[in-house]
Amino acid sequence: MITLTVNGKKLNYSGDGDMPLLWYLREDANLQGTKFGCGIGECGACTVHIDGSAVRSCGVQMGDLNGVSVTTIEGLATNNELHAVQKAWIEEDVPQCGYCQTGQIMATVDLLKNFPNPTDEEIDNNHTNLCRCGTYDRIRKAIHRAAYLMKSED
Amino acid sequence: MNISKSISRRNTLKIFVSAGALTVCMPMIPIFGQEDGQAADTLFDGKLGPFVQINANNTITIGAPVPDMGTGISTTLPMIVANELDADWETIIVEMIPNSHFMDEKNRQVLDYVLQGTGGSGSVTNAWQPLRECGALAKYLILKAAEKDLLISQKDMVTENSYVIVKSSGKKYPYSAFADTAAKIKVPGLKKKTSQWGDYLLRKVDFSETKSGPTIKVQGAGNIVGKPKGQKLARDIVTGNIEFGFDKNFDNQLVAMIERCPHYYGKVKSFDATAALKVNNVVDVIEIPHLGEEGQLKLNSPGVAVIATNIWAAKKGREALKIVWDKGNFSHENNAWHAQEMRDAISRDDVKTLDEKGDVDEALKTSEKIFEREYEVPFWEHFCMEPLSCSAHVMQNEVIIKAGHQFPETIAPYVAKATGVPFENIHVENGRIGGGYGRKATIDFVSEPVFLSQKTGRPVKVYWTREDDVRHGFINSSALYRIKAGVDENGNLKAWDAISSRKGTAWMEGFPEKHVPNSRLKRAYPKIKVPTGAWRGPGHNTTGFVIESMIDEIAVGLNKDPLDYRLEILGVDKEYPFNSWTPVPVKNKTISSARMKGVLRLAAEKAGWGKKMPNGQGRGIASCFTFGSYAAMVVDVFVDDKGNLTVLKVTGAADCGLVINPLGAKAQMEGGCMDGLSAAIYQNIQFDDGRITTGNFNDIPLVRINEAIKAFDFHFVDSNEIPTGLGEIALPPFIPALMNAIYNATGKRIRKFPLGDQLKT
Ligand code: FES
Ligand code: FES
Repeated sequence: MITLTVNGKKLNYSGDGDMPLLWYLREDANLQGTKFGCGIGECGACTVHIDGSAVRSCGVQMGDLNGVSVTTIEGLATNNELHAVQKAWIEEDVPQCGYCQTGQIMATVDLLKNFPNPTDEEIDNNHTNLCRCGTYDRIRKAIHRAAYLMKSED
Repeated sequence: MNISKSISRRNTLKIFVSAGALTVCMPMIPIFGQEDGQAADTLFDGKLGPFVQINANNTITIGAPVPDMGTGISTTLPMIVANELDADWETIIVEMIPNSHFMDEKNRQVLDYVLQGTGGSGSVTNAWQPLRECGALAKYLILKAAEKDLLISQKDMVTENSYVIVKSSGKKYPYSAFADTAAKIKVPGLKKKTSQWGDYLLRKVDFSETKSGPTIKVQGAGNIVGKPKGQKLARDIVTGNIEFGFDKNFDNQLVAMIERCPHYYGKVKSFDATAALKVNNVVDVIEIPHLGEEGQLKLNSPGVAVIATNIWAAKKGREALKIVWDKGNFSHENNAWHAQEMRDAISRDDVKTLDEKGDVDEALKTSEKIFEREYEVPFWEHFCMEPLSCSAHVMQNEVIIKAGHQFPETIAPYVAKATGVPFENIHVENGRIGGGYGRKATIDFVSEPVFLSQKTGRPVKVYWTREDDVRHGFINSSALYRIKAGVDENGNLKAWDAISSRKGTAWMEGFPEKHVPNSRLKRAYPKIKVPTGAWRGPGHNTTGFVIESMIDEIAVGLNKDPLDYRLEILGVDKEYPFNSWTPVPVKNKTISSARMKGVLRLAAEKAGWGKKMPNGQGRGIASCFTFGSYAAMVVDVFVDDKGNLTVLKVTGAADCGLVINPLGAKAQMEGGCMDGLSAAIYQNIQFDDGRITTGNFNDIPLVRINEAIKAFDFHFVDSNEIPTGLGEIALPPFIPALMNAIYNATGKRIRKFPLGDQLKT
């Protein structure tokens, strides 16, 4: 039996240990904001946080997750107040189809923990999620804006 | 404004009116008009027209009738309605509405109000007029109701930000105060009317026979259209709260994964499901044949479906299948074979001359200088970020389909045929589309769950993996072009002889062919069987690259400025004919050389064309006409001494008629350029044994943020022409402008895609 916390809720899991977290979130926990794009860790659409760090959930198995705490896009806003990264995404009107964006946002939240004031080069080297609609220019602007918003929120 | 107050006032008025009706109110009748005719609530289920619902708190819900695959259409279309309605954009609520259609008495499908599919950059163009009319109708009804309730002539009223303002008194009333009355006002002559619109029958709201009925704003007027607006559904997107096709489920559904025959036009010879059926939670294994008609082009890839209660079990079960394939007749096909076949086809006698004028051979003989070039493009995939999926529940006399489909209206006719369930009992729930680019326009991914639900009697959802998606698509055809151009002693183009060899039309008609006195367009028919289909800017996506590279080569060869040379060819302002596909029915299709020159000049001016570029940098220009819109791009690149490419900036101009939402319009241009960059530098789908071997993102790099275009500067020609599309118009000129820039920086002319490491050798 695996016990894990998802968005603050304690949950139990007793199915296949090799099932990726991604499918647990989408099918068992009914949290479909986390997306499937490749299943091999290449695209980042499935990015969530495990114990505070960004992880591609298609590549982690349920059997390894006893005791961990998972945050998905649905758990990012607090009491209806959007996270600064989500706000920045709206203000820069980033999404086109939007499918990759929850993953982009989860990756950015973590990026900003490591680089609270990232340079373009730091973004280039550390933000690797794929967006097929090509929203990169606005993602970059939104990352900078989010960094700014987070500082002014402190 | 206090809403309850206004309602009680309205009630008072009503009492007053009815009590004194015989004597006091007689003179008022002409204002109200004769009350026969139909009211909005009976015609439109209680709403003020098909798309407008005024809520009690004076917010307005506007229905978005066209699926959004990233085009921003779920914001653009409501903007058109809201603009006409003088609504407060901030309090507008956008709601995606299901597609609406029916069979008429002659058993022909009729679409309600607007075309509901999305493709060919036609959504806005097609919906523009009907949506303006719907907005105007709603406003008309509100004003009528205000007149009726307030007993004030509407000449004394203005509408603004979802309020009716009485000019003489300065009093403000929310639209909601009049919503009930408005829905009940009978409008003589208001009806729904069916007429032909291109290939479709469309039943539109018609008020052409109403007396002093709704009036539509002059094009370009209003407070919303033309102003940059963020996407209405952005909050739902960034919180993960929006349902894509991939997220649509039935309670109690079964989940299927299908091992499809990897060889196109192959099938299952035999299979052993013993091991698959032993996997925990696998409930069934079902063979899926080709579901299209015999001899027809591919509908779906035949295969074996593993049905389970969850996706992981279905996947494991699928991996345990043992299948022997019948490879079909095309296992000789691979990349080298395709390349040879495109060449061989050019010398076969089924080559067709599509257009010819003057004497091309003679003109070539007497030309001062000849340019002869060959260009080649490989197969491109869509790589929609959201892989395909669809779920279906086929019941005795009803079918429900859930998907993210570009043309939801095509689903019911197929399903009716496949299941025998009457058309009107087939319901399609269409989700947001996680990237379409033409891929989600076909019925293949709908046919499979329909078949499996019929077999199991349960709702079935079919999931595609990335590999399934890549290997069983309908992709962009590879292409080979040869062009021979002759110029006279002054450098004028006098002969243009071009042939394309690709599956599907190349659309080479127009520029520069129509401007050259002697020209010939030919088409070869390579016998390549790869399933192909629509891909962002079909035909234009590769032809733009070829023609605009060729023009650049000639200009450079003649020592002329590439911008000046293009303007020279376009010559005096004129309209010249073309015969490529357009998203809206147009008679006598023409391209305007003036509008083309306009975008070239605008892009050049904004980029500062002609300035000297620093060492290692280069600049290129190109323009294209795609599906009714004109676009020109100036691209700046830097190539370092190791051959690494950086795209520094794209300065672009577009003439797409009236721009509804400049912020969204720019997004479409940005996206088109980024997609073009990925395609040109990386896309190169691999084949062997008559199958696609490319599988996932580890097989093919696509542009990420570190390689993305560094800056954009887009400008739109101020225009009052009807709005035309944007989703596909940036890519065709972007790619050649990029290649021309690379030439300008390095002296290397790229004639064969992908760019790959051609700059590195
Ligand atoms: S789905 Fe996990 S990285 Fe692509
Ligand atoms: S917004 Fe469509 S893939 Fe990123």
